[in-house]
Amino acid sequence: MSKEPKDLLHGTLDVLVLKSLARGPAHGYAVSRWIEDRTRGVLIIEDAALYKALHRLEASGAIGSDWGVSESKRKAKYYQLTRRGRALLRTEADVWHRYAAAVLSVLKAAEA
Amino acid sequence: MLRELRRLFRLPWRRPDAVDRDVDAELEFHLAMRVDELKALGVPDEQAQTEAVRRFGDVGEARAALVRTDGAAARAAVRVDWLSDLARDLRFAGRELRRDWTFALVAILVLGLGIGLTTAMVSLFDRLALRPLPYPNADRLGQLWLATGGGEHTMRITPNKRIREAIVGAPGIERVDAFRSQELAVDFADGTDMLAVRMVSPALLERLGARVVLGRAFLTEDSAAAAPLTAVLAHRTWQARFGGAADVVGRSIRVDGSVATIIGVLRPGFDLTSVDGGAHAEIWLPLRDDLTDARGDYASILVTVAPGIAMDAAAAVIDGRYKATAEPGDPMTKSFSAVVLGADQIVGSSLRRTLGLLLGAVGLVLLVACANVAALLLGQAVGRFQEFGIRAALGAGRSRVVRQLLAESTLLGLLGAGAGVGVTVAVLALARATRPESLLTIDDVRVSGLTLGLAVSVALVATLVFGLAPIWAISRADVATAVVGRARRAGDGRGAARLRSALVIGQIAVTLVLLLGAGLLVKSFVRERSLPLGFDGRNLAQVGITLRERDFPNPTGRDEMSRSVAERIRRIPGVTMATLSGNGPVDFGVIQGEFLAEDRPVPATEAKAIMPARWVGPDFFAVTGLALVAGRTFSADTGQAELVIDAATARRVWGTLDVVGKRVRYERTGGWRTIVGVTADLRGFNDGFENAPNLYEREYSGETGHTILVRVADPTVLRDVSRAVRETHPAIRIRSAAMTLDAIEEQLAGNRFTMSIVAFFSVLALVLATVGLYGVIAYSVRQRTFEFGVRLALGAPPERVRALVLRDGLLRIGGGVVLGLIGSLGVVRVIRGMLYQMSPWDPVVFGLAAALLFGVGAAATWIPARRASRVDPLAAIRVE
Repeated sequence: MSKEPKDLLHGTLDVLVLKSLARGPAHGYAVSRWIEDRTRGVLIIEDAALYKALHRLEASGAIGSDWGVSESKRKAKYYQLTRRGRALLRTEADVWHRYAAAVLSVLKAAEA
Repeated sequence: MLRELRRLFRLPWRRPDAVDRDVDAELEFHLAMRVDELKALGVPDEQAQTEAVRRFGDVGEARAALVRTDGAAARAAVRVDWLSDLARDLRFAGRELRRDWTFALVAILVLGLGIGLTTAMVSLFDRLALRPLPYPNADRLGQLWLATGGGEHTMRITPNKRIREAIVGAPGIERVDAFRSQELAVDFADGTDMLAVRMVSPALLERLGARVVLGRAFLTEDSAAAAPLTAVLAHRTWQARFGGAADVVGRSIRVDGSVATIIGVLRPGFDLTSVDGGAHAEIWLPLRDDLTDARGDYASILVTVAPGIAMDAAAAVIDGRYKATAEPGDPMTKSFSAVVLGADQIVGSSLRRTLGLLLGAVGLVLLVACANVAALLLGQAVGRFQEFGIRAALGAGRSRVVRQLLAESTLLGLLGAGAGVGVTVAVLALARATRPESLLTIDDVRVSGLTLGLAVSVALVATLVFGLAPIWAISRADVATAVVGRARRAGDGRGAARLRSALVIGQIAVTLVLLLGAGLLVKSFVRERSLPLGFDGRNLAQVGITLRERDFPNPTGRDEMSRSVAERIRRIPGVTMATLSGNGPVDFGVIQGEFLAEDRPVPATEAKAIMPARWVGPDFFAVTGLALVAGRTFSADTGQAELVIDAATARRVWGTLDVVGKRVRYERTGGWRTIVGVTADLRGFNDGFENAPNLYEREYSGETGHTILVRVADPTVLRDVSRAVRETHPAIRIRSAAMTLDAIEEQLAGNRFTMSIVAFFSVLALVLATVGLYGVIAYSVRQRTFEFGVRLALGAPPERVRALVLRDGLLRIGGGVVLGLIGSLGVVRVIRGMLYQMSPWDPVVFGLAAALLFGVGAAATWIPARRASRVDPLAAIRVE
């Protein structure tokens, strides 16, 4: 845990993982690629941290997993959101929206 | 067995290497995908590998973390699984129990009774025998007595003036308090009642933790002889007599003719009943006399020893000071020593013995209950062998079967424990409701949590162990035979049958021991009541009066006053005769003195020479109807020159009743006195002093305490008698007023209580044992249905089959009875001291107990035996 990037606010990674899985089941590599693509390289996430987040969320019941066969015909572990995960995503996303709005309003006020 | 169980209960953990493998596969896939991605971008093979790992981060550390997370999650999941399985098992077990509900009900009842009775009795024992004094610092509290003799025949009397002087300032004694309990006439608006009053030294209430809820407790000033009399009300008196009026403090009441001002109301529940075993005090007064100054009525003394001082050491110090102040040759000092009885000893040894006996009785009942449940479970389990065989054949894992058995046993045990808690509460409530007034207070007895836990554990263990018995059967027999049905007999192998037999025999033995104990106590009690009193107790009243030296300083004035009380009583319509006496006919002699016969050798030990006597008026024998067996009663006015003794004394000292004219020295007069008459023996009811010898002498001049014995037309006259005493002179105190037979009844109440409880337990054990016996024999008949069918089919007459079953049952009963007789050796030892003038080897009781058990056992056998003889041979054989 200590090796998670310092610039990644606590809990951010969980929200991103949940959001990525909101589209449907995906394996860890796909989640990693999706986050990289969506953040256009601004957030560089170490794979180790990503997997820890995945397993942590699985243990907490927010996501479930199944073994399946990937597009490249390899055996892969697919994750999907559970009902609890979907609810968690909603509340977490909401918190983030309000947080970001608050920070933005402060920054804007400072500029003016 | 243990290893077997552990293996059966091992939970299906996800094995650690499975978690490892999954993590490895996942990481492998990720790295492979990354390498593919990089290669697609044109990165060379070697570099792609390195870059993929670099982008990943610390692979080793991550892998370990993932394995940890997954492992924990897997274990948690298993736990959840197991719990939901358990819930399902319990639901299923509940259904099973409902299906076989008679079995379940009997088992639960039996367990509940066993657990509940044991816990209730231990709770009582704990409260009454182990923590008898509910006061702060109770371990340093002791009661001071003067005692003589030893062992069974210790006689204790309340301390006299000299010993009380000896305690004041004795080292190691932190505090001395005194109290006295008596019945006094109290005037209320609606008339006068005799109420239990306790007089206490002023600080005693506070020391023993008696707080007031209203007003104040006593102060030192209240006990000053010149101070206005003050009174503190018991809580219930305040409620019952004053309607809980808030302004009761300051009101006046008349107690024994004196006006007292109420200064406070005590908290509910406080009393000294656990110390003196007396009635609940209604009114508390300050003890007016200084400790060293009390005369007439002796007060009981409570000492508080300094921390670290033993009661015996304190007693030795007091005794030393007491002996040091004695006049040379004083017989009281020679024979009596100071003893201090701590909280654990204040409870009389007889009560302690009684409680111990009861404890033993309930222990036996618990034993019977456990044996019974065990036999029931064994029988039931073997009966269900086929069911489990089929389940095993259908693929139920052995652990599932065991868990189901476990769930059933646990459920049964828990329901039994629940019933046990109910029984405990009910029994304690019953004991509170029915306890005699004279028994120590048990109002604040609490359920002993530890005992309840222990009893429940014992019952649960018994249930579990025997409930799991079919495991053995399953692990031995193979599934195929079980399914086919033969296994019912295979399962009921020698071992199981022998075990059940042993359980039945043990139960019968224990029950016999209980029955014997109860029978002996009942017989002793009946005997104690049916023996002649030695006097005519019907319509005899006894009224204790005290003429205090403070009120009647002149000895001759006291004599005249008491004579005029008796005279006034004689004039009441409905009174035929009245006489003054030292005490009532069943009370222990008030005078203790050295007895020396002129023509007999001086007894070896001084204690043996001490004999109790009572002084009596000349009409004593006429009023009580105590018969003379030789000689005459006192002549008109011979003073102390004549003595009347009872037959027991005559026999003990001379070995004959022909003793009229012999001369003895006894006590105070010092000179020779002539025996003029021999009376019949009076019944005594005091512990260890049944038929204590009695001497009768004429009253001395100047006595302060009397018991007036009155022959009345009917008990209602008693009220007029009390009134006559008060009307003679308001300063005369009435100690007690009762019909003699009621007084005896009260003395016997404790015994009756004990006896009814032991009898109750025995009947209970008998019922339990009968149920067990019936169950086991009925079961074995069912087991052997096939065999009986074959016998009948081969032409055996039904009577033969019946006899076969009967013989089996009776053999077991016989074995149990023999074992029980051996066990009764122990009971006899314990119970010997509690029997009234009878040998514990009472052939009638032994015969009846054995016969009763045999009869009940035979009845329990008869029904199954009859069923066996009516087996339809064809049906029986076809079952197999």
